Amino acid sequence: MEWWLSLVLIFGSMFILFSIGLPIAFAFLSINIIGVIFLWNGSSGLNQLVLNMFNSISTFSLLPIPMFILMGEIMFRTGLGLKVFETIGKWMGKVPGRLSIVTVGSGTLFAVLSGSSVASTSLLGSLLVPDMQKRGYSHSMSVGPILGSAGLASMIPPTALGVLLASLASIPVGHFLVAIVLPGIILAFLFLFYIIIRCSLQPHLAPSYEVEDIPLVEKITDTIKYILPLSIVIFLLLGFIIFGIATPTQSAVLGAVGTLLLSFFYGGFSWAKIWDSLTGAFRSSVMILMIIIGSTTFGQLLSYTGITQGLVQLLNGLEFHPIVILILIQILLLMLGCFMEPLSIMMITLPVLMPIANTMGYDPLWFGVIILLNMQIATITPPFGMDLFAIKGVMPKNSITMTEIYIAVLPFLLLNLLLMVILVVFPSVSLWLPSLMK
Amino acid sequence: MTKRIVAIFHSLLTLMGVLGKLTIVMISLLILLEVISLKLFNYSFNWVLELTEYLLVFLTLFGAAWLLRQDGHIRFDLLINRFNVKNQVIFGIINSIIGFLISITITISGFITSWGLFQRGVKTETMLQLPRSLLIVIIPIGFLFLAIQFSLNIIAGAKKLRAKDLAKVTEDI
Repeated sequence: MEWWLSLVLIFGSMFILFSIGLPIAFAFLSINIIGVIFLWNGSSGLNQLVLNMFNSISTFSLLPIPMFILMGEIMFRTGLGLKVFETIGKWMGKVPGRLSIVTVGSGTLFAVLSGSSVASTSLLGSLLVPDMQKRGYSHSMSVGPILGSAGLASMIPPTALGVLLASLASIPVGHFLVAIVLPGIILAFLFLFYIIIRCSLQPHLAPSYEVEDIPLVEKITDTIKYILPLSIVIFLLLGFIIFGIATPTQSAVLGAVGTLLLSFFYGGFSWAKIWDSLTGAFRSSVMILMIIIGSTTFGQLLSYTGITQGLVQLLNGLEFHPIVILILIQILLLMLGCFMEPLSIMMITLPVLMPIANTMGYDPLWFGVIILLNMQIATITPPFGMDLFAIKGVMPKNSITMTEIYIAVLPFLLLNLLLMVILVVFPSVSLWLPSLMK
Repeated sequence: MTKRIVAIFHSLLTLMGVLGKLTIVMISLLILLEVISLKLFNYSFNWVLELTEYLLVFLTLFGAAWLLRQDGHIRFDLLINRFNVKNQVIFGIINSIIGFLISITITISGFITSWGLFQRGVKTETMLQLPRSLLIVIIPIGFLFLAIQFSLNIIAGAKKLRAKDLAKVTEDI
C-alpha cells in the first residue's frame, strides 16, 4: 500500500475515534491492534504489542512524572502554593492589573498541577473571573491572563508534559528541563510587563481598588516564611540537575520530600491532605501513562508502513530552507491543537517529527523546546483552540461571546509567538543553560 | 446476586486504587533510599532503578480500570458534549463496546504471552533476573479489569437508553 494511503487511513481512523469521544489511550490501542494484526502476522503481532506496552513505560526517564505531580499536589493541597501567592499579592499593593498578575501566577500553578490546560482553564475561569469582573476588570485582563497562563505552565519546571516530550523524543530529561527555564522566565516577564504597561495606559481595563495597607515587616516576614524556603526547594531541584548531583527522578523525589517537610512546619500537613495528594498524583499519572501505553506501537506502525520515511523524503524533496520547514511544522501543530490535547498531539506527531528534525539538522533540545511551547499555544489559538471553548463553557451564560474571548487572548497569543520567534532567532536562549551542565 | 458481584468488583477496584497510591509511596521511598545511600555512604543499590521501572507499569495498570470507573481517562469531548443526552448515551455505549473489545483482546493475548514466557522460563536480562511472565502478567490483569468495567458501562448505558427520562437515571454501575 502507498504510504500516503496508509497515512490517510491511520490518521483518518484515529480522528474519527477521537471525535466520538473514545478515550485517547484506547483510540491509539484500536489502531495499534488492527495495525499489528494486519502488518505483524496476527497473534504474534499481538504478543509483540503486549511486550511493547510493558517496555513503553518501564523506563527510568518517565519516573519524574508521578514525582513532579506529587510535589505539585502536596504544594497545592497543603496550602503552600496559596501562601506564596498571598505573599506576592501583599508586595504588589496597587500595581496596575494586580489581579491579572496574580491570575497568571495562579494559572501557572494550577496548570502545572493539573497537567491539563483545559482542566486548569475551566477551574480558574469559574473561580477567578467572577471576582475580577465584579471589580470591573475587562475580559482582556481577566480571561486573557488565564488563557495565557496555560502556555506558561508548560515552560516552567516541573512540567510533566516536558518530561514526557523529552522522554518520547529521546532527549535527556534533565537537559530538557533546564533548557525550558530561561524561555519560561522570559515568557513570565513578557506577561508581567504587558499587563502592567497596558493597565497603566488603559486603567479602565483593570480599575484599581482599595487594597489593605500591609506593614513592611509583615511583607518581609511572610517572604522569608513562605517564599524563601519554597524557592530554595525549587532552586535545589534544578541546581541538582544542572550540576549533575542528582538525576531528574532523584531531584523530583527530593523536591516532593522537601515540600512535604515544609508543609509539616507550616501547619498545612495532615494525613488526609497527603492521601488526597497521592490520589491526585496517582490519577494524573495513570492518565498520562495510559496514553503512553496505548500509543506505544504507533510510532513503529508509522515507520513500518513507510509513512515516516515518506514524509521525510517529501519534505527533503521540497528543498525548502530548514526554517521554512520549521514554520510549516509549527503551523501543522497549531492546527492540530485546535481540537486535540497537547499530550495526544505529541504522541501522534513526535514519531514523525523527530526523524524530520534529525534530517533537517535541528538541535533536538532546541526543537523540543519550540515544540513544547507550540503545544500550548495551539490550545489557545482562535478560532478552535480547546482552552477557548473550555473557558466559554464555565463562564455565566451570555456573559462573554467567542469573539470577546478571541480578542482577550490575542495579546497573550502574540507574546507566546514572540517567545517562539526569540527561540528560533536566538537558539542560545534554550541551549545556554544546558551547556553549563555536567 | 449481580449487585453483589458488582459491589465486590468495585471493592477490588478501590483496593487497586489504594495499591496504586502505595506504589507511588514505594517508588519515592526506594529512590530516597538510593539517594541517601549513594550520597552519604557512596553505596548504590543497583536494583532500585530496575525495580522502580517495573513499579511504574504496576502503578499504571492498577489505576487503569479505577480511573475508567471515574470517567477520568483523557478524551476529546468537545464534539460529543454538543449532542443531546440520548446521542451522548449512544456514543458512550459505542465507545464502551470498542473499549471492551480492545481490552478483551489484550487480556487474552497478554495471558497467552505471559504463559509462553512462563513455560519457557524467560527471565529479565538484568541484575534482578526476575521471571518475565510475573511482570508481563500485570498487563492482562489490568486489562481484564478494564474489560469488566467497560462491560458495566455498556449495561449502564443500555439502562439509561431504556429509561423514559434519561436525566433521572443516575444509577452508578
